[in-house]
Amino acid sequence: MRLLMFVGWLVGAALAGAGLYGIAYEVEQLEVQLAALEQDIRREHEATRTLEAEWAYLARPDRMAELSRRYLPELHSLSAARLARIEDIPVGPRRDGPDAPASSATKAAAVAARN
Amino acid sequence: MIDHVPTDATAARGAAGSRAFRPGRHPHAAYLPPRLDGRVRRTLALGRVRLLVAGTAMLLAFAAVGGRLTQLAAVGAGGSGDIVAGAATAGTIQPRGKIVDRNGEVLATDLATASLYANARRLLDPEEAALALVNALPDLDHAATLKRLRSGRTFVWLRRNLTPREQWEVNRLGIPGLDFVPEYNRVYPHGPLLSHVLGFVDRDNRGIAGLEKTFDASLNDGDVLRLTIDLRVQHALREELRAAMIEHDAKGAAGIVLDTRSGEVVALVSLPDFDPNHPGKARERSLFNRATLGVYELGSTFKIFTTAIALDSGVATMEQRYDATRPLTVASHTIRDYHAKRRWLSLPEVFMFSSNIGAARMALDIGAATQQDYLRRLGLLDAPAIELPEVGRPLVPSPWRPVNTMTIGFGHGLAVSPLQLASGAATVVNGGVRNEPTLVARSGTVPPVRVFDASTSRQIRRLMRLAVTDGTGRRADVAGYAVGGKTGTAEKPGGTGYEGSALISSFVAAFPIDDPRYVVLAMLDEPSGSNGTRGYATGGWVAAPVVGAVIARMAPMLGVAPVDGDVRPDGSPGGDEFAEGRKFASY
Repeated sequence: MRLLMFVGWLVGAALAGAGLYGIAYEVEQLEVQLAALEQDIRREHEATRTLEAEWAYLARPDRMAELSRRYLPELHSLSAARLARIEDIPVGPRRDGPDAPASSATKAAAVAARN
Repeated sequence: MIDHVPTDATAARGAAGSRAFRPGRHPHAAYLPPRLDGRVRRTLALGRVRLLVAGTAMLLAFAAVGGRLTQLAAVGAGGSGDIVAGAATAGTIQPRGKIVDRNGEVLATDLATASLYANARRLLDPEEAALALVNALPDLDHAATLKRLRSGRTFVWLRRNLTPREQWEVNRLGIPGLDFVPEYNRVYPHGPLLSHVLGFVDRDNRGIAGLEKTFDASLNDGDVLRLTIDLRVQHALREELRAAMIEHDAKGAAGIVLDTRSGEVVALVSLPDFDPNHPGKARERSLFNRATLGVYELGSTFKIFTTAIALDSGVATMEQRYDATRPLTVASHTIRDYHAKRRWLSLPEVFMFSSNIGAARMALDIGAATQQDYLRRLGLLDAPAIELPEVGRPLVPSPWRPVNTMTIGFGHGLAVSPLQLASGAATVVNGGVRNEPTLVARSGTVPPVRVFDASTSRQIRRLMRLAVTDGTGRRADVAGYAVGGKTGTAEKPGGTGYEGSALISSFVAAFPIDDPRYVVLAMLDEPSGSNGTRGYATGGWVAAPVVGAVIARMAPMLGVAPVDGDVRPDGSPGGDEFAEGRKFASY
C-alpha cells in the first residue's frame, strides 16, 4: 500500500514535471514570438515615421505650387467671386432664360479680369 | 485504467518483499554475528555514521541539483527572457515626439539613422581605412579622419547620422573596427518654413530654441505636439513677405495671422529665416525672431488703440474734431503729419489720414493714467505669454512724461513686438475681449478678458474699413472680403534721434470687417521704395499689398464666406454696409 502511494506520487511528480516543462517551453516559445512581434512593431513604427516625413517633404506647399504651375496651368487661386452660398443657387429651371447667358458672360469676364 | 494495472502489481510485489525481512528488527541484524567484540562494534558504528554523513551530503547535493533543474525548467526561460527584453529596451532609444500643424501635417519628426564610430585599436591599417572611408563618404576630411583612426582609442566618432545608403557604402568596405550606433535624427521636412516657430535641437536631440525648447521634456517623452499653425497660411504669408522683402530690399520682415476669437496664431513668420535641419549654418541675424523677440516703435498702427481708448473712455465721440492746422511743438519735440491736411480734422479723418497731430491731441485728452491702464489691459506693457522662449519685453518709457503720452498716441516712444500689436488689434476688433496669443492647441482655454465695449469695437472696425476704402490702406483691399486695417510707418530711432530714411513699415488688418475672423499683420524693416511704389516705402505702399495678397490666398482656404455685395460684377470691391461711415470723410 505504501509502495502504491510512493509510485503514485512518483508518477504524479513525473507528470507534473513534464507538464511544467511543457508549459515552460511553451512560454519560452511565446516569448520569442513576442520579442519578434515587438521588433516588427518597432520596425513598422520606424517605417511609418520615415514615410510620414517623406510625405511631408514631398507635399511641401512650395513644391505643390511649383508642380501645379507646371502641370496644371489651368488651375488658379480661388477668388471670392467664385464662391456662393448654397441658398443663392436657384432651384429648378430659370424663367429669365434669355438673360442667363448674358449674366454668366459678365461673370466670366469678371473672373478673367482678375486672373 | 491500463495505468493502474502495473501499479497494483508492483505494489503487491513490494508488499511481499517487505514481509520477507520482517523476522529481524534491524535490516542488518540478519547477517551480524550474534556477539561482537568492542573493536568491530566501534568500527561498524563509525562506518554507519560515515555512511549517514556521506548519504546526507549526497542527498542534499542531489536535492540542490534537482531543485535547480526544476527552477530552470519552470522559470529559467522566463529569467533569460527578461534579460533579453531588458537589453532590447536599453539598446533602443525612444524617438522624440512629432510636431504637427493644426491639420495634422508633420512639421518635425525623428528618423532612425546610424552614427559611425571606430575602435582604433582593432583597426589593422589606419592609412588604408582612412582612404577607403573618404572615398565612401566624400565630405569626410582625410587628415582629421586619419588622426582619429590613429588615436588608439577604443571609441572615436567618425560621423553622426549617416543615411541608409552611406551606411551601406561603409559596410561594403568591410573594414574591421568600424561600427555603428543607432540614433535618431530630428528632421524638419518643410525646411525654413517654420524655423522661428519650431526652433531646433542640438546634436543630442535636445531642444535649444523655439517650441522645441519650451516643450523639450514632453517631446522627449514621445508626446505629439499639435500647433495652432496652419501650414498653408504659413506658406502664403512667408512667400508674400519674402517677395516684398526682396522687392523693397528690406533688412527683414515679420508677419502674423491671428484668429481673433481664440488668440490662436495661425501663421508666424520672421525673415530672414534659417533651415532648422542645419542650425549651425544659420547666421546670427537669421536666428533672431522679429515677430516675437524684436520690439519696435510701430508708429501709426497704434492709432487704432488711441482712438479706441478715446471712444471707450468717453473723452471723444465720432463727431469730435482736432486742430491739425500746424505742427505741434511739445518740450523740444515737433509733431508733424506725414499726409498733412493743415486744417481741423474729424476723428474719422484723423484715423483715415493717419494724423499724428490729431492722435497726439487725442492722447492728451485721454491722459497718461487712463492710457496706461488701457495699454496694460491690452497686453502692450508686459511681455506676452506666448509659448516661445524668444519673447521680447516691451520698452516702456520711464518716467512716463506728458510728451510720452502724446507720442505713444501715434506709436512712438513705446516699443512692442509685432505679436503684441497683432494681439492688441485682435482685441479691439473682436468685440473688445482679449485672448492671450497661443501657438499650441490648448485644452483648457484661458478665459478672455473684456477690455473695450462692443460698441467701441464696432466703431473702430468702421474706421478701419474707411482707412482701406478711402484712406492710406487702399492697397490691402480684397474684393469680397471687406478688409479693414491701419497703416503704420515709423522712423527707426538712431543714435542721436530718429533717422528719416530708416523706416519700419507695417500694416495690420482684420477681415471680414463686420465680424472679423482673422487679424493679419505685415511688417518690413527698413524697406526702400521701388519703381512699383513710385519710390514710397511707407506702410500703405509696401506692407498693405502683402496683407491684401495673404488675405486673398488664405480666406478661401479657411472657408471664410465672402461678404455679400462686396464684389461688383467687374470684380472690383463694391459697396458694403459700412458705406454710411464714409460720410465722416466729408467733415
